[in-house]
Amino acid sequence: MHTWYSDSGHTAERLETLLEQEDPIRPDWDGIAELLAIGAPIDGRTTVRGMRRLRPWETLDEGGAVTTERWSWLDLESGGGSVDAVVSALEATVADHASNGFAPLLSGGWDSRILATLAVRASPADRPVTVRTTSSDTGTVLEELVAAQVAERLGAHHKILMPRRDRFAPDLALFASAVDFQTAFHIWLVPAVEDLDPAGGTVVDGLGGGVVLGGAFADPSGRGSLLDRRFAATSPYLGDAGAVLCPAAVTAVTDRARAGFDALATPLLGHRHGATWTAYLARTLPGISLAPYGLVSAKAPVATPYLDDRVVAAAMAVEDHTDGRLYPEVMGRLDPVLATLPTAAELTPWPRPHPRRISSAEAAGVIRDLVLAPTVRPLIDDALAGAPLERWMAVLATRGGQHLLRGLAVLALWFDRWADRLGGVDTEGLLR
Amino acid sequence: MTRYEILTSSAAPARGPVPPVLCLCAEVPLSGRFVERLIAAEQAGAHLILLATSPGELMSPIAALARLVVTEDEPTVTEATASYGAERVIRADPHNVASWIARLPTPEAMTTRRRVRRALRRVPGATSLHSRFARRQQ
Repeated sequence: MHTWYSDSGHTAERLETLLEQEDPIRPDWDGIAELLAIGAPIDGRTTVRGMRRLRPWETLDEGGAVTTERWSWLDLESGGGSVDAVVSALEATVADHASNGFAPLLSGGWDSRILATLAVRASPADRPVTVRTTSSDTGTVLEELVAAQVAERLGAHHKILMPRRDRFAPDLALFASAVDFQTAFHIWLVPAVEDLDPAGGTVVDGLGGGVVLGGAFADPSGRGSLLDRRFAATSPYLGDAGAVLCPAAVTAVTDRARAGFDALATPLLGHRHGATWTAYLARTLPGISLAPYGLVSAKAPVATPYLDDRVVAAAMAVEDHTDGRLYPEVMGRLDPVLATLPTAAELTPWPRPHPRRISSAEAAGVIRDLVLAPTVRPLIDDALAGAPLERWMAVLATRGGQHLLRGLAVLALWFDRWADRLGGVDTEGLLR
Repeated sequence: MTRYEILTSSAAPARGPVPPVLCLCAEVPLSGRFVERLIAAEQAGAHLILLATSPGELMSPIAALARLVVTEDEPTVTEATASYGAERVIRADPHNVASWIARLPTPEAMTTRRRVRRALRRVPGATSLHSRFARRQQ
């Protein structure tokens, strides 16, 4: 899942390990544009020129040379699959980790509900399971409440870790460092990860469940080419870009991210599962996976059953599983009660009633100070830069504005981390 | 006076429409009908308020769900201010609800504006008319 390598043939499990030997560090502006627009550098890029992340169809030999072969998932058969086969594959995958015990992360959604159920059942009797929930900071406590219902049904000890206002800055810094500053998606997960006991069992994480099992990234209808629509689904944040980025940065970020996306996604246009694999390669792998394989793995052992070859093959063999229709069927084989329990997403009201940490005055102040630093300031719209804190809080309460500001904050921290190697470079380079 | 409900371990949760304010005590375990009532409250947009008397209560599962904390214990005020944010802490006697409940804003979802919009949503085109009218009024 997670190997970084340099053009000079060195490899490491952490990008930081490679960068400590690199001087000077040269920004990869395409990767940085993708971090901002999409959520992480894609297609093997990082934020550093000459540093790459191994792609699923690549292997490294002992000398550090990259060889390419056809990605096996592209040839998975569609048809002849069954819900029972998916359940069996999930049970087998989870059972591989049973001797270590489990420490599931539990939200209000299907992916973690299914895994928590499997984990509790597979866990040795002398290793009771503790499930952990934290707020995803989307303006309700329904994730926590639905998770409490699931935990009670499973008989698991449940811990709810509330994100603290006075911990936003250290949570942001810890997250950014743990993921080598390559994404900004999961700052909110830090309180749950900090509570983990390294000897408390394997953390089963639902990475990939939405893509592989839930069919969540079916192509949206609408105007534009298929490539246009898939890019819009991959980067739904750019509609608000003008509220955060200066005009030159909007253009630069959009153009570079679109070019990178097109190179990645064009070969998949004709594939019967093109939507699924585009979402996996553009979103799951580059950015989302750094939560389990960067943040969590630094603290405790982690497993991501939905991306095990057995589970992927079984799930993709089921002909049509768009829009989450497989979820209640898989859950129903394990526990009929949990199959009918509404998810947090199904219950979420509008307006959102609960205050978000990231749009609080405390967090907005932290983010503002970071992104107005000289390194990142060239990208910021002048109107936002001069606006009072309340404006920053309002932008952080929007989906696109928040995404961009989180990415810019992580970018600012990246510049700080490697200041002694960057030779005074700032984000003016992105605009050229 | 604003309607409210107090959820303690000794009382079975009420059924029916949720009032604007639900008062919670830290010792209540998250189980069964209590959780169902809290879900209904969150969906309705009601204020979930922790009545706290000591900093330790801020570590309870119930505390992680609260939108506001009411306490007159100074160490609890200090700790709640740090973890929740100053605007979410009310310095008052948690058990004298009448003394502080009037300070609370109506939950956004329960304001007249939102109720009208929900009713108008049943009439095609009515919500855009309502929006234009509401904007002129500001």
